[in-house]
Amino acid sequence: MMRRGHTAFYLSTLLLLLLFVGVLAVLTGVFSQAQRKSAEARELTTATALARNAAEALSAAHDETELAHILRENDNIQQEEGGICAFYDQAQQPSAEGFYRVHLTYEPQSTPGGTLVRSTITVETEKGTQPLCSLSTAVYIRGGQEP
Amino acid sequence: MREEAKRSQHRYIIALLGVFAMGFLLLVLFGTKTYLQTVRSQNENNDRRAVLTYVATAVRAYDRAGGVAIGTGPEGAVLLLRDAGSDAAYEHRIYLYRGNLVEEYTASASSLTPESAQALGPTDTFSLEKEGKDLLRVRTDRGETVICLRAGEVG
Repeated sequence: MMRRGHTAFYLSTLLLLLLFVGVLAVLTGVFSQAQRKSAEARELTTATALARNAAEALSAAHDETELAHILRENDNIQQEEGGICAFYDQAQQPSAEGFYRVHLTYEPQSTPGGTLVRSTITVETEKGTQPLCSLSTAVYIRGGQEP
Repeated sequence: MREEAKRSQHRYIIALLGVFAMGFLLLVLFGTKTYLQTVRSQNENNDRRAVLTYVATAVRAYDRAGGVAIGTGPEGAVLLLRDAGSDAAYEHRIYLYRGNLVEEYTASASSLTPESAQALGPTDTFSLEKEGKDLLRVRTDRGETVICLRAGEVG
C-alpha cells in the first residue's frame, strides 16, 4: 500500500516535470521568435533605406556610368549586364564584401524627346534567398539631360 | 527503513524544486535579454527613421530654386531650407548640437540659437555632401540618405 503511494507520487511529479519542460520549451520558442523578428525588422529598415537611396541616385544620374559613379564608394560596385550591384555592410556603409546587396536594373528606352529609364531595385542579404524589398521606378531623361 | 524512504523522498523533492527554480531563472534571464534586445533594436529603427526620413521630407518640402543650401553651424554643417520668394525672410535650419540633430525656424538674418532649437533625434555625426548640382547626401551615425532635388539645386 505504502509502495503504491510512493509510485503515484513519483509519477505525478514526473508528469509535472514534463509539463514544466513543455512550458519552458514553448516560452523559449516564443522568445527566440521575438529575437528573430527583431533582427528581421532591423534588416528591413536598412533595406528600405538602401532601396530609397538607390532610387534617388537613379533620379540624379543621366546615364548608367554616372549612376555607378554616384553609388561607388569603397569599391562596392559591380557592373553586371543590364544593371549594377552595390554592396553595403550591416551599418549601411559601402563595402566591397557587404552584407546587403542592392541590385539595380537599368533599362533605357529611347523616345522622340529623350530616354525613359526603367529600373527595378532589389535588396537582399548575403544569407537570404528571398529579397528583403523590391521597388520599381522610372526616370525620364530629356534629350540626354534630365528635365 | 521507513526513515530512509522519507529521506530519499525529501531529497527528491528538493532536487525537483532546484530544477524548477533553475528553469525559471534561466527563462527569466533569456526573456529579459530578448526584451532588451528587441526594445533597443526598435528604438534604433525609430530613431533612424525619425532623423533621416524627417530630413528627407523637409528637403522635399523646400525643393525649389534656391530653397536648399548648406551653411556652417556650431558642430559642423547646417542644412538651410529657405522659404519661397525673392526676399526669403525665414528659413528652416537643421544641424547637430550636443549629440542631437536639432531644428529651428527663424528669420534668415538672425544667428543660430541652438539652446532653443527643437531636438529631432540622437546622432553624434551629421554631414552634408553635395554631389553634382542636384544630389544631396546626408550622413548621420544612424545611416545615410540620398536626396535628388527635382526642381532646385543645392546652394
